[in-house]
Amino acid sequence: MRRLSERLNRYWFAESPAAALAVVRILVGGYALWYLTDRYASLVRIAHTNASLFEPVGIATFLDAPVQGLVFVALLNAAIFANIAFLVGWAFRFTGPLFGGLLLCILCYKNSWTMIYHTNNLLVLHVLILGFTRAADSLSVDRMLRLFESKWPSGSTKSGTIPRLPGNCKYGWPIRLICTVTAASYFLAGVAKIVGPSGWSWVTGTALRSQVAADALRKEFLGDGASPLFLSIYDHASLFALMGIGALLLELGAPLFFLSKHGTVLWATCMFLFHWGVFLVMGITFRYHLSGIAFAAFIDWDAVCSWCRSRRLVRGGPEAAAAGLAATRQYPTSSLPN
Amino acid sequence: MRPNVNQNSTQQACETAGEQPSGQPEPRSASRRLQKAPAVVFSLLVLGAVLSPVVENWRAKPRDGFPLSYYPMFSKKRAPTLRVSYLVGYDERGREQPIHCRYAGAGGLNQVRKQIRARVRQGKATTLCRQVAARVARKRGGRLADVKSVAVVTGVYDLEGYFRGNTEPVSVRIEAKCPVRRDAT
Repeated sequence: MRRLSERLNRYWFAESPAAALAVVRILVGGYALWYLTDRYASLVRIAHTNASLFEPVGIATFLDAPVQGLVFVALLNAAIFANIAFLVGWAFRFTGPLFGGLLLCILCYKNSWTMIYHTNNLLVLHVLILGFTRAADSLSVDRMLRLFESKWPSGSTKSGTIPRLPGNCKYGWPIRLICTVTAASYFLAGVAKIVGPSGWSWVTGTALRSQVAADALRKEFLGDGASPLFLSIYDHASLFALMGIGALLLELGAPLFFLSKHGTVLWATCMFLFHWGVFLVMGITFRYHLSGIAFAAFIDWDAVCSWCRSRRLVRGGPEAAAAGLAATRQYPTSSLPN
Repeated sequence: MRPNVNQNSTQQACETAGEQPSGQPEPRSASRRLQKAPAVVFSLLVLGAVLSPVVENWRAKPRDGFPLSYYPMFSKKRAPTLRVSYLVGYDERGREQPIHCRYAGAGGLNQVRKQIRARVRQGKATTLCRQVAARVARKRGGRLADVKSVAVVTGVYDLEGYFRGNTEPVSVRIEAKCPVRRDAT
């Protein structure tokens, strides 16, 4: 039991560079900003939908009726402002949780008009986790301000380089949490398939095919039509069986993939490809997933940075990469201006 | 005390890095554990919340939520037929022209689809039909330029047969039909 506890502790509180969490913050924050600004007009129009269609979900259940259009627009504008602060890491202790809360409000409200879009579940959860953790200790305005305000350690000003923060578990566990929450969401989807009335017919492919067929038929009548790929593979039941088994393995087997570091990366890669498969067969655009940003936390950003430095893709050559890695680990915590 | 400079140190838990070579925990390890407590509580709360909707699978009246969901779209068994309410335009000769759901409301296809269905159920198909007709009337060009009337239709289709060429509806019902008045716009 103690060994298990130690292993869990070692896994959950593994050290990670501050920059790794910051990169995830920038990617997720950047996507959220694109989403809110790109959908601005659509979100405002949705907020003006007929009140008889209002079916509140999430924290919108506290509302008895839709809010005034102007109130929603004000909230949306505030969310975009907080999103920018989140992205650049400015006053993050305040703007991080604020943006998480505002995004939750906006998307709950958006989903309160007869249809819940599950495509945004992970986005909100990731933003909330990042917003409440130390995701702006690096690559942020806050960090720059701290550096300017405090005395720089000797040597760093001369070389003009910014001292790197040492790896710490406070940057590691939020990444682990994001990865685990991502896997848990897929696990729930797998459970819903098996315990639902369709049960194990997902394995034979019949449940999957009828699911995709229903979606395709609706698109024929209401949208731009069914995906050409779906039409061409419709009669090949074995293909749907393969896809059904693959999806179940990835969803229900997610916890098993997490037993090894390589397994985790493999799982994330497979899920990324899975969403591209869904896009090609069903025409469903899970943009957050298709972009790969939903799986950004699975990437070993420290290794990516070292690789880039070794290839001279970023400032400093291979020597700097090695020195930088050592400096990251040797820097005395007490002398850092964070 | 300097952190472990070993290359693998980033793979080690913070507490391990704070231990002395003898294996005896240094005095700071207790405070480190205390520092971890909020992280443990936060992690457990978030994970518990994310996994909590799983119980909905076994409830008589399950309720979906956002962003905490049990993903009910996967737990529904599809019937052999599918009912769908949609919009159709008719030209002067009565030829049908499909109308995209965006003419019925804002949001994604599934959101508007459900809204059309809800309006039909609420007996407000005529109101919806007029709104769509007004939006179509504003279109001066394109394939909807010749549309003279608009209808809200509910059709039942054979899910298996539709993609094998049997596109005829099992049943079809015109919920509401109204003219497109272009001169009025």
